[in-house]
Amino acid sequence: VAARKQAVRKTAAARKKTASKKKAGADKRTAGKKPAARSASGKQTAAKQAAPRQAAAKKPAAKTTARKKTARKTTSKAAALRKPTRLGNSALLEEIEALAKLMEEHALIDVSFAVDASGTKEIHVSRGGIPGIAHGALAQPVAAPVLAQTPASDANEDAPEQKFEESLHAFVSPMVGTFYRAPSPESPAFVSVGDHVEPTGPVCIIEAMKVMNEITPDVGGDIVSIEVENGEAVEFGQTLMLIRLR
Amino acid sequence: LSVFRRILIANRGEIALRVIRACKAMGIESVVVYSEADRDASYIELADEAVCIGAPKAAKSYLDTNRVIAAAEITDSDAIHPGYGFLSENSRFVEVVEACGFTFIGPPASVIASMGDKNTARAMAREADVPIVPGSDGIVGTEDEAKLIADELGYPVMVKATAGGGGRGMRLVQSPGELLTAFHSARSEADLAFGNPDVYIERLVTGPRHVEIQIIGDEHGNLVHLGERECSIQRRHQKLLEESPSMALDPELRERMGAAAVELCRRAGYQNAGTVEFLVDDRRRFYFMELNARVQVEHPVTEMVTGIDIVQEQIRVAAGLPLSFRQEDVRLEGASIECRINAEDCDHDFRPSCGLIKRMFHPGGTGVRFDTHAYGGYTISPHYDSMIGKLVVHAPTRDEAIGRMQRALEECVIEGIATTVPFHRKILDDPRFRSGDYDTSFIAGMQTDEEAP
Repeated sequence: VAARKQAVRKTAAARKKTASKKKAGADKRTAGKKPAARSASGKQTAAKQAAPRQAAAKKPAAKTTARKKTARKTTSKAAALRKPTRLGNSALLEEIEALAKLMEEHALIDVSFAVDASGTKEIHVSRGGIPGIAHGALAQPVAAPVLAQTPASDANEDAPEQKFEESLHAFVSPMVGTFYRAPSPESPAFVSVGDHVEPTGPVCIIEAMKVMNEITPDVGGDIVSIEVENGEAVEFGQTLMLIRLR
Repeated sequence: LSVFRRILIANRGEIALRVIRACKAMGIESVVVYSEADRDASYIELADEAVCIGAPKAAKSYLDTNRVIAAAEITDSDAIHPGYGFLSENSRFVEVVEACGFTFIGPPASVIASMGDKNTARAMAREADVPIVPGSDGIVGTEDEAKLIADELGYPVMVKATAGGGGRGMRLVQSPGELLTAFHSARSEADLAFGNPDVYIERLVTGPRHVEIQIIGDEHGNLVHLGERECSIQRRHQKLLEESPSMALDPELRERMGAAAVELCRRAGYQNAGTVEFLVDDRRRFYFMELNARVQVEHPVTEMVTGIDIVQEQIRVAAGLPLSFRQEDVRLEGASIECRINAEDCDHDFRPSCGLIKRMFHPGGTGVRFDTHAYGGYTISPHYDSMIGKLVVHAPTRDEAIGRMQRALEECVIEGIATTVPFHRKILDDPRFRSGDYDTSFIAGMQTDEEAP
């Protein structure tokens, strides 16, 4: 049971990341075409312009999520209480309370919780794709591809779950610098849209302090789009490419 | 006469905003770097450009030389202002900045390196005939040595651990009879606390006041002092309130301390803005403590009484221009007080109080200046310093300045978090503070008084 709980927590954390970064990714996509720095007017970077919008976009969605969460919590609790169990009701309640708190913390919207007669618990949590969600303010985020956006340097801890087969991953810059698609001006580009990439080889270069840093993506998949122009300045956390996970 | 076209500010919060303002006044473009924790801070919007350089943890953003330099490169900045804290007194950073072709707005790397080392700084002071607290030349290892040195210095003396801090491994010795007990207990306490039993002996500075001299110099050999700041209102060595002029100084002592500070800096090859910290005892003798090779938090106090914009002057001299004034042009006019507004709960041992500022009213009016990056709706992140603003007043006399500060503190509304505002009101009401006759024990004494019935 402990191990299972651990697993739940981990999944929850990974999905939270996916969910919260999703909007950032989506916003940056619209703004990302402009040069990050050195914009013609010398006024603010693209990412910065995206920031307020991002904050504004976050609010209504978060509210809906919270409401949804409450509803689910109640039903789960009711359902679980009806089940025969060896656990005392108060102990079970405590567990459910803890789960509800976890949902709150990690912005989860669906948790099913079952206890069979032997006391074995079955816990399932998810962040999207549940029935009855395709209406209201949540319709849009669900319709949009799910983006997992993590700096490449943290690749190992934050590798998205296998379950998001149809999702897009925003591969973001792990550093500040200048983005190049090829190792030298004469060389062909490392990758193009449609190419399959693996987290083992470089897909671009970011030059910082006269050092050419070869950047490897944090995930494997197919490149859906390249979000920055060759020679463009990028900042930390800026989306470089969208990768469809297989 | 070209100064810089674009300056990158390698800092955050209040001081980043301060430098942005100086840049705007001089018609220079400003670039701020920020961490993900500061993404929504509104001062960022005031800069001409902003670059996210990393994660909230300072080591992965504001303290990372490579990220700062890379941001300067992609924004075509020509100079870097480090503010205070973070990389401001990191000589290695300064070397990299210069090697990459940017101008560092601050003293040369070599000066930062030598002044950062206490022993070198003390040796330099000795050479410059600047008084230092009399004491042993390094570690005192034996009982006989201790006796000899203490007799030579004259009682009372302090036995201090070289690795010490926070009062541990420190003993006050009033008379020869107490010396050996203190010597041994300081050693064993230091060994336990820091794993190093080494101690040195210093003459006790009685009734110490912390008074510092602001200096600024250019590369043409001009070096000027801008008078003093009285910083004795400290809690655990953290300054809380500063004022200028100091009630402990008269024109003659100010002149001597200023000259000593300038001489020390001249010998060190100092350029740009810096501060020489002194202790002044109850007999008005002064002793060199250390040189801070950066613009300091409390610099506005000096700006108010001299009318000189220290940050703008820093930028000018970094660009190679001569100082825009000479020593004889510097006049201290009126009195200025600064209260540091920290997000700290003074009723609970000044513990940090992070979170959302629900509502905030900025005090203002004649002679009031509030340097802050905070506002209603701003969230104080736990990642950085708890200082959220500096409330500064200026008035013709000290009494008027105190009155003005009381009014400003009354106007200052910050809801949602605990701040040091109520504590500052207590300080300003205290008769000892009002008399001007206080030393570095002021806050400890105030708190003891409160506990007594």
